[in-house]
Amino acid sequence: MSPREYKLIFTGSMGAGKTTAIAAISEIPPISTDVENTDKLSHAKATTTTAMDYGEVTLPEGHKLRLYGTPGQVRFDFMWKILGKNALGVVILIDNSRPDPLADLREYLAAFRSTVAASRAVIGIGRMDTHNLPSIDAFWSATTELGLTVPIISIDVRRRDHVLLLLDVLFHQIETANPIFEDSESGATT
Amino acid sequence: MRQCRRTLTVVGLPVQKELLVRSLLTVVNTRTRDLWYFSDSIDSDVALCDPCSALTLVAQKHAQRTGFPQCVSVVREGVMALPETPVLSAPIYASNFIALLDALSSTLSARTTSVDAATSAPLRITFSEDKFRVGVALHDLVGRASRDVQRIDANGVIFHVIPAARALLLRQPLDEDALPHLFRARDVSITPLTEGQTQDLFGDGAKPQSIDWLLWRAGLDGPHDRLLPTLPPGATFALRRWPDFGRLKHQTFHLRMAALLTRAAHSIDQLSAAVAQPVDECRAFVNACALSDLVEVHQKDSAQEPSSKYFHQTVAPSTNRYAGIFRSIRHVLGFTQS
Amino acid sequence: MNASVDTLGRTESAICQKQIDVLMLVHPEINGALVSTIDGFDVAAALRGNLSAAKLSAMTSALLALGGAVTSESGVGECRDIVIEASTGRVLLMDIPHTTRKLLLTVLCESAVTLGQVLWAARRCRQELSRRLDTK
Repeated sequence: MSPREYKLIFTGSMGAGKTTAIAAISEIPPISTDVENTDKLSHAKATTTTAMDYGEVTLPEGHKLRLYGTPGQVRFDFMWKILGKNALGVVILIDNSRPDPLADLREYLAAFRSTVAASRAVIGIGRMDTHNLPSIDAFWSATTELGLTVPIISIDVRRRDHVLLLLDVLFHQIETANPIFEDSESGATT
Repeated sequence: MRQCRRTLTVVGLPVQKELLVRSLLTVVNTRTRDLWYFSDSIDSDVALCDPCSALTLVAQKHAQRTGFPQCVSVVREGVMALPETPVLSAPIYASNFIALLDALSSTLSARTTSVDAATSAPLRITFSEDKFRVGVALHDLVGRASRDVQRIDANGVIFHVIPAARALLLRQPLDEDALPHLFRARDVSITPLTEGQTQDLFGDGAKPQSIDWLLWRAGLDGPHDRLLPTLPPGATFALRRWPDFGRLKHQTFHLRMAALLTRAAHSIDQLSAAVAQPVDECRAFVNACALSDLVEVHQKDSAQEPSSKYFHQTVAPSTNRYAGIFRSIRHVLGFTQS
Repeated sequence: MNASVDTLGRTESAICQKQIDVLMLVHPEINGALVSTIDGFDVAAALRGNLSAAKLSAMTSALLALGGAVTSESGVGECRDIVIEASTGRVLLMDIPHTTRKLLLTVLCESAVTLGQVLWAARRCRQELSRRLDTK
């Protein structure tokens, strides 16, 4: 079989840990397009991603898993569309210390709706240890109100085992939702 | 009258207002009837809320479920307050703030007195038949959502619980080795603390943490040969959402169980066949989910047709289309295999 | 609208606006120009029709950041200009050297005009912007 490429997207609000998550699993140092953040009133972070983060994992038989981190801010939503095409799955990272995490989540659920609706998504909520609201149940309600079912877990992206857990949950979700599939289904390109 | 310790938080207010409230509290504390402390937790006695914020809805739902916090609308002139809530006008003046806090103290005292009267007697639960003693006792205690701190003594393992907050209060972490001993207890003693004892507990540095992991473990590490008494053996079970595996001990096959049960109801036997795991493991998982209030009981008799078409299509992991690629990824990244 | 304390002051925005207005006046084959911050906020714009300065600013910052990643990966130094040849026009993107913060200049023109001519005009504008913003 000729080598295939699979794509995983990491999206979510600024500062939620997309770059960190990719760095935890990429075999190459992630390529980033971070630039200086000039809007410090909205976000305290020194830098912001404008185009994407990129990492990769080489698999047996020459297959490749490509990891793409999207910019978090809505003015770069054209990148969400570009990067989201033909993705195997999407990891949505939410920072629970932000003013309105539920609104953040709704934004990314809408942006990646087709991938999410095909049960190819997982949601990781960060900083729940110090900010316990909204609760997992509140996030769950927010997704079901949109007619979507997505696994939601609380995580710390600085922990590699948590990043792997996110992927493991995502893979189980995809496997269970797509037990039988047609060759033309998205998720792999040759 | 003895001074009580009260907690106050803010919900949906801008940063500047929050800072103002924090500093005002330290200033007015010498002039209020009770001692007020600022808290970041939603499980405070009082929450100053912005009626227009989405987070306020979350706080109100929490209050409906647990009785706390008492929501107060912080509004400028002309802005509508939340229905049936006390109002604190903005800009906030110290005198108004003091008056509000004292009024709330009276309301809270009245509530505490009635709760104290109802729960002052220690509750001792002895289980002769039921082997899930501690798990079920804790689950039911949390479900009653009392605001009072409760002292739990099971087989000499002692800890405290705030049911309304779904919180454990521990002076030091519960020893992993002590858990089996705890879960095997034949009886459980549950005693509400007095106000003074509660103050002492906090004074000793007891820190609240979520009780969810303990309820989960009570199910997972409890008896595997049976389901909880509340679960009909012949029924099918579904999950209303995924367990929060980021905080709960689990193995990889639990993820598959969750993926299946969130999509369709399964009986224990069906689940066992679908995930290729012994029924004991399936029972343990369903028990853990039940103690975590995640289980929905569907058909009472699984001899009927399975409730979901997905059951017929469930394919064992090894023959799934994605099996190859996910196996590769898991192997290369070093996942633990189940 | 960007309210950050780090944003260019009104004077600097005015300087940028004046320079791109002059650019368009002197070079009629240039039919659009934009100065934006490196993280995608518009500073000054002279665009026709329904073109959104906000959107273009975000896109050009992404493009130049990607360009920087490519040149870095290829070992050819820092990304200076990007030229997009399209079926009915051309887009030039370039960074504006500045001591304290990086800005981007985007120039839109018709295909008919020679690339060299537009590059020359755009680079002059960039130089002028750099000089005026530095001495402010």
